[in-house]
Amino acid sequence: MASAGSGDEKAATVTLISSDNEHFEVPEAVATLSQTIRHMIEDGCTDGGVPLPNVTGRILAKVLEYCNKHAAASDKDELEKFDKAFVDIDDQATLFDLVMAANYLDIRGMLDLTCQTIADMIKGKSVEEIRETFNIKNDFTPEEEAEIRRENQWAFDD
Amino acid sequence: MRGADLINPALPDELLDDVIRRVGAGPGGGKRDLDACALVCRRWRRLERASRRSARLAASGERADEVLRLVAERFPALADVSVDERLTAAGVVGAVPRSRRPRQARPVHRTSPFRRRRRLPVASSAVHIAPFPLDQPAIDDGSERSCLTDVGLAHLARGCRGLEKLSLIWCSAISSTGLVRIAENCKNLTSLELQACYIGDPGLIAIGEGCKLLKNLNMRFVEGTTDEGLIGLVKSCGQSLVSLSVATCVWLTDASLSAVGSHCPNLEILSVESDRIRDDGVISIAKGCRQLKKLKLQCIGAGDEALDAIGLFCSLLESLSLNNFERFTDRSLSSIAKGCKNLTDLVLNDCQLLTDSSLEFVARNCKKLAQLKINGCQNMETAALEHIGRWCPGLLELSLIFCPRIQDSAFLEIGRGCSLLRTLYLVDCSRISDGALCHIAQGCKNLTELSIRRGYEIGDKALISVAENCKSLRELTLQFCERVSDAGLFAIAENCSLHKLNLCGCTLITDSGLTAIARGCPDLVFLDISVLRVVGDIALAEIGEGCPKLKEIALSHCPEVTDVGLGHLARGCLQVESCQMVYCRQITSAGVATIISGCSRLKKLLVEEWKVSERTRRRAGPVLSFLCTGL
Repeated sequence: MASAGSGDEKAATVTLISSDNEHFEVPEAVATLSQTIRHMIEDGCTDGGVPLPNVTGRILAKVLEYCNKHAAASDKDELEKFDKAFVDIDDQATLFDLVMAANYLDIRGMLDLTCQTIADMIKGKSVEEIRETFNIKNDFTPEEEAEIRRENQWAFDD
Repeated sequence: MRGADLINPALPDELLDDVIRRVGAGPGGGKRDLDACALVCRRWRRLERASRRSARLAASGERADEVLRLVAERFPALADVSVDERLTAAGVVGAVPRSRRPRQARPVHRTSPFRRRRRLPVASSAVHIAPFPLDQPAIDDGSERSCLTDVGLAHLARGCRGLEKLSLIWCSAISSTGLVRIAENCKNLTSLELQACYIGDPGLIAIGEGCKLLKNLNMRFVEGTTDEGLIGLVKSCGQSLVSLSVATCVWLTDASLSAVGSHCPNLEILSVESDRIRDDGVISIAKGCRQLKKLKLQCIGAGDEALDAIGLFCSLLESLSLNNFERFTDRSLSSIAKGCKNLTDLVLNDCQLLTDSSLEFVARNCKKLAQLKINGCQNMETAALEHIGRWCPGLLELSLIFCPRIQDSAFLEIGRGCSLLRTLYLVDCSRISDGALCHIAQGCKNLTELSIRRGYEIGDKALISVAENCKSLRELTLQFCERVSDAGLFAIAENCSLHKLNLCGCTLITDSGLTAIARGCPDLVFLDISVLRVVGDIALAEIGEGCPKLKEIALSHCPEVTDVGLGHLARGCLQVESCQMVYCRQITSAGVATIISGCSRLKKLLVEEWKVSERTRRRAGPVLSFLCTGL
């Protein structure tokens, strides 16, 4: 296994480079929460660092916060509390960036968490409320909308 | 949050699809949310329609076949479909031309000589589950309304080839032909449920031949078949079958069970309700289905020999439910106890010949026993429970229904031995009084659910002891426990944060007791205060203020409640989904209107028909269900 770290007693680390050229030296045990990075380590192409052109430094820092916490494999309740706080974000742009990063880096737990957060923002809302939450433009004609409402009536609630 | 749409540019289709699927799944999500997603914008509609997984569809109405065709076309990814003739299909786009009006298709393979079952009329007190029926065709006098036929089912089969679960309920015009189409197209079918349907043998046989992944088959009140149908099915796909349930199918005999024993080695769950099954049938099952984990039998024709076999061969059995077993004795349970060491759940309903010895066998041998329910086994007395208390430390749930001989002292042992007990149900156990509950409370501190119906000897002393000892109590039911008064409620309110409370018929309760509850139980979700004669608006005002999470409330037969109280309730309890208020003589149409307009999440309201104004009826529509006075 290729090791980018130095010294016999220090655990192996890998350097991650964000799109805006910030460098993060991270223990392999933490970085490999990302399947993408894990494969790269296994393939031995991490010398000189791993460039991540799709992730900014700001987002990568947050991702590593998640990975650090989850790699330490703490108590289940503690992880739940951490996760809840992690996605308590006012800024939608950051949330979507985290989803994209989780997808690109293939971090299953974080992808589940962030997608579920977005889903929870949608549940229980009316159509208008959903559009308002995400600033989505209604691009239906009135006829199209009527058709969808009719389709919705074909099936019944449980 | 003002500004640009960030979500659509940010998330590619696969991620937005993931999010939309999650919206439809899990608690709080469902059809309404998915319907909303489809209306957001064109992209969301495309993704939502392509990923919708489950649907509950109508089988009644002239356009049922057409609706199913359109549903299959618009929602091709459906995997879990329930088709129910108790539901009526709403209008479709454009009128259906007369020439395409579906006739009652006479199926090709029909072999049964039975007369077609008449559809039963929907009772007027049934909940209206059709949506606003704007496009309903007028019903001709004398003729039956059309409903879903094999044509519609074939559309579904061809359009949704990924179908995994299918339920056909009261589908009177579906026959073997429809099932043959399903078998031809839906190779991934894992679960099939037929309830009150009229299917022939060829249909079942075709399913067996076509659906090799079938895991679950559930048939209740299915006519038109014979043993041959089921035998044919298990011969073809018996290897994959894990769960089988057959109830009220008069054609079922031991021949079927014998085939199941021969061809279903992986069967884990079996439920049989039949008057024609005898010992031989059950013995075949025992010998052939060694993996059996869950068994439910309601067969008056079977007896001790059948259960001897189960005990001998089915050592993996975890759950056993015996109902209406008139012919079996303590010997049966002795065999079970010896052979089924993994037993965790035991239900005994109306097993007249069993005595305390049965439970002694079970208690001593089945150390993992966690759930025990005894209903109407009149020869079981106090000793039965004492054995359980002594030998079953893992007991979590205990239900005793109509056990008039069991006395307080039995609960001394339960209290001593079953410290993990979480749930206790006592119905019609007339000898049980406060003493029993004090034993329980002192010993079973983990109690979360306590339900007592018609406990005429139970009073405040019991409640106080429970309140002081069982801090985890979340659900409390005291129906017609006429000695319970406000004092008991004060204690409960102080110590236990209840989610569910049912005080129906505890006529000593007054507004004071309910005030204490309202102030002490802010997490209350379910409340039943029916038949409380002196409870009135003060209680409702307190509940309105103290219990914002309330979802279900029943206040029928409360003569002191007025429209004012309803106003307070509607103002504070905005999450209410279900409300019952019949026989409240002071409530008028104004109060009904207040509830309808105040509780936006209301799904069901039970009230007298004459109390609903025309305007309210228009506004509320499907939410209303009316008391059927049977005049």
